[in-house]
Amino acid sequence: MTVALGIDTGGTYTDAVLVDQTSGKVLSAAKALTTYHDLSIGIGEAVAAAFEGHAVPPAEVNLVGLSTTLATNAIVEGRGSPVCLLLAGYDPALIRQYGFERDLVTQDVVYLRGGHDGAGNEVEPLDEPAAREAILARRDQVEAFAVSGYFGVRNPAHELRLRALVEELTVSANGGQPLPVTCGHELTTRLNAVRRATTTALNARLIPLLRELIATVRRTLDALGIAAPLMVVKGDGSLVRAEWAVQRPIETILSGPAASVVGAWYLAGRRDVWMVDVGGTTTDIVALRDGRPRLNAEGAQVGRWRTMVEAVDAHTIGLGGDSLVSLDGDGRPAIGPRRVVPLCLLADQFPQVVDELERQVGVRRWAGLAAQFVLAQPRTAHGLSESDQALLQVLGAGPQSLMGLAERLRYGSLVLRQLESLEARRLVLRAGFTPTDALHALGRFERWNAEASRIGAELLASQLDLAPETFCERVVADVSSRVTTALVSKLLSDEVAAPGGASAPGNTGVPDWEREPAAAAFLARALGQVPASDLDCRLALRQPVIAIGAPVEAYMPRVAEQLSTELIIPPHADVANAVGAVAGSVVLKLQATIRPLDGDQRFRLHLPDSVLDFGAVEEGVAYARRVVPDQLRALARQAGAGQVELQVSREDRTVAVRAEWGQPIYLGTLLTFTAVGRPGPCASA
Amino acid sequence: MSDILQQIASNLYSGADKAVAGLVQQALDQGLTPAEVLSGGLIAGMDEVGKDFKAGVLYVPEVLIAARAMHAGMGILRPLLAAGDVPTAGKCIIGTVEGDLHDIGKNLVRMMMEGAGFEMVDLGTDVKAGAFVAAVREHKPTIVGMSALLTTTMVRMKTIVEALEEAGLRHSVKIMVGGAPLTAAFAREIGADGYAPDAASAVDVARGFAG
Repeated sequence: MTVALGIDTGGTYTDAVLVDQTSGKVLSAAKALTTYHDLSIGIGEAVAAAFEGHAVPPAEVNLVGLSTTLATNAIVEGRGSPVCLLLAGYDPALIRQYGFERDLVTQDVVYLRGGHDGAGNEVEPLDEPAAREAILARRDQVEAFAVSGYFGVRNPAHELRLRALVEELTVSANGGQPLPVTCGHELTTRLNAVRRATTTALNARLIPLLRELIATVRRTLDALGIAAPLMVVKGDGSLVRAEWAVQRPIETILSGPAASVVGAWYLAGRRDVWMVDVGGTTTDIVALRDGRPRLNAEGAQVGRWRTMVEAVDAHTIGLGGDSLVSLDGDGRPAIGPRRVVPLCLLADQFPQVVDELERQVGVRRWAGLAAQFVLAQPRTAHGLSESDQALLQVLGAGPQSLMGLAERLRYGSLVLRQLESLEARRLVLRAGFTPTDALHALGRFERWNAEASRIGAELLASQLDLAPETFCERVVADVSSRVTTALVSKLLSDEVAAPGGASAPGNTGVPDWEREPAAAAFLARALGQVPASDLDCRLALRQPVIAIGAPVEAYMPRVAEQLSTELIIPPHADVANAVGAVAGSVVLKLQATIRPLDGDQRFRLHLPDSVLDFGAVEEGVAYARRVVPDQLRALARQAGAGQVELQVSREDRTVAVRAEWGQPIYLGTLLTFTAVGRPGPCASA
Repeated sequence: MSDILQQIASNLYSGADKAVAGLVQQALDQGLTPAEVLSGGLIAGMDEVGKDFKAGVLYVPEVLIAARAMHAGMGILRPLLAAGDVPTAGKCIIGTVEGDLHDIGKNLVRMMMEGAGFEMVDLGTDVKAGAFVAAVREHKPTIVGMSALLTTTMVRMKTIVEALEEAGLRHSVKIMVGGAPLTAAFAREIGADGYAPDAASAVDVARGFAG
């Protein structure tokens, strides 16, 4: 038997599954809470639980796949190591004039003379003395270097030279191991020097973080007796060896939704579907076409950064089973985007919470704080004020209700603000009523303490003069309608070009329903929210919906009904993302382009690492077909593929001129080499 | 009152530059504002020229003569038009690409667009990719217009689009291209936003971008 271990660290839970690779069957599955301060703790717990009571010896595992939110979270939160960005041939005046500095990720930017033009001709020689000086001055201050050259994707010579310089000058100061360097041309083939710099700098900044995670996961696996190679899920759903991912951590952004969609495809075996993954923190929506997740050609947006990483085109909303249910100003329930610990889970760990909830019933003062708790996270932090430390000490003893704190402490509202800032630093966790609690209170989901959920529902429902059951039903129905709305929004944004073009910066193209009252009125009728209307609207989605995550049975049937489509909930839907972490293949692409040089007599071949001129297009094509496949095969093995299958596609670009003006004009040839292979054991980086 | 504006428009149409200049001055003396004279007289006249040029009633020489009359009128109005006074349709830089010295078509587009109320910056002929990028930085236009009259130079338009892309400025402008050998398919292939087969349609394309 060949067994694969899949691991997914999500916003709330870390899942682990054991999959029999021969039969495709899921042998066991387990969940643990994600431990943000050190992801490997939650990973260790989930993996250990997956082996518990199953007759699979750890030594039988021959592949470990990990999908991790580390890169995405670190980017969103602005975490990362100090890096220096070396830019060759960039114009600092232009960068300043357009305020592009804020897109460069780091403050430590060095502008060097150099760079190329669009044809790949050197504009100015690289200023090596200045580069040496800059590298030497920083080798003890930074943990990685990022390198990008103007038109470096048309000729990477300066980027490659800078990489060699960094490696040469940092190797001795760093104990024989040079500092990591990321070059722009390794991550993308696309133009836009600023966005390449963004992508490159983000990547360099993540390298030490991912390296540390991989090392701790490796230790955890070793301790469990698992020696199999460790692979990481990329944002396009494919797998790469951990050692490779450490060099290109930016490519693991959106690895969570990517693993979900691959897992959904693997478990359900359907090729054209809409995948909805209802997690604890977020819900991700991705279209699967012809068995592959649809990718975002414009590059994935993470936080405020638009990267050049091709990742799944996921639409993510801040709504999940553990979203906080609060009452908005008009006394309606509002769900998310804040994620909290569900009351039922909190009471499962701290049963005294139930007594405090009971005490709050009927209390009018601070009623807006009812059913909310805070607890300290077990981690150390520096630079805390005395009052922060005092507050953390109080919370260290166990969860405290917000209402209790406000009653006991003199400056209740000040404490609330202080808590917010401690929460933002992840030193304090909040607990409250969530959709998961609504399901517990209604008896539709039973895992934790339902009593806490019932009293929580009563506390909130009484403020709206509703019966607790009615309130809970409303929360569950709201989750469904929000998911349906998000799916419709995503679909429309793909199909209807937004004004200014979907590619305009910052334009996600998702419809803003509040600014489209007529459309919103149709949608509300289609969702059944306006029973008194004379107009009955129906939506019909042409593809089925695959739902994964937990517990989707509670939310998704209504979504499928609202969209008049088939709902597929595959077996093991609650751990599909972990299944997706081992179901993918290694997929690598290299491109070679041929462009006419002036006068049409010479043609330039742009290879991934060099530039060569030829007298005829076919000579260049033949050369590329000769050298690139071997290069790509070697890379694919390094990336962890066993048997590699190679495909080449050729696209010739010619365009007609007006009839009487002669022959069509040749604009260029694009050769795309794709290597695909299942993860294999033989590779070494 | 509107009588005199009509006279300006019809004199402009027939290219009577001295008459246009005199009538513009007269209209101002009667108390019309410079903005009224511009839109009701000069631009209205130029619009007629554009329509008839498109319909094949007028030919290039007549358009050039009309444009010269427009210039004569503008010579009087321009010093009086305070910034913000004129409802500008948008700013556009225009040039013939590197290696190409043809300027009649480019000038025609420039004049027609000026006539339509666009603020035009003419980079001339034989303009390198770097000069287009520099001009975008300096003038911050909404539109970049490129002209090429040779099959050997039209590929340079792609180089210029790429140069703007690499500089990170591609999304700040709309790019329109034109010239005898070009086609709409070519414009799409090189990543331009618009293509105009002639000077009058160039104005329509530009208005589409600005509106």
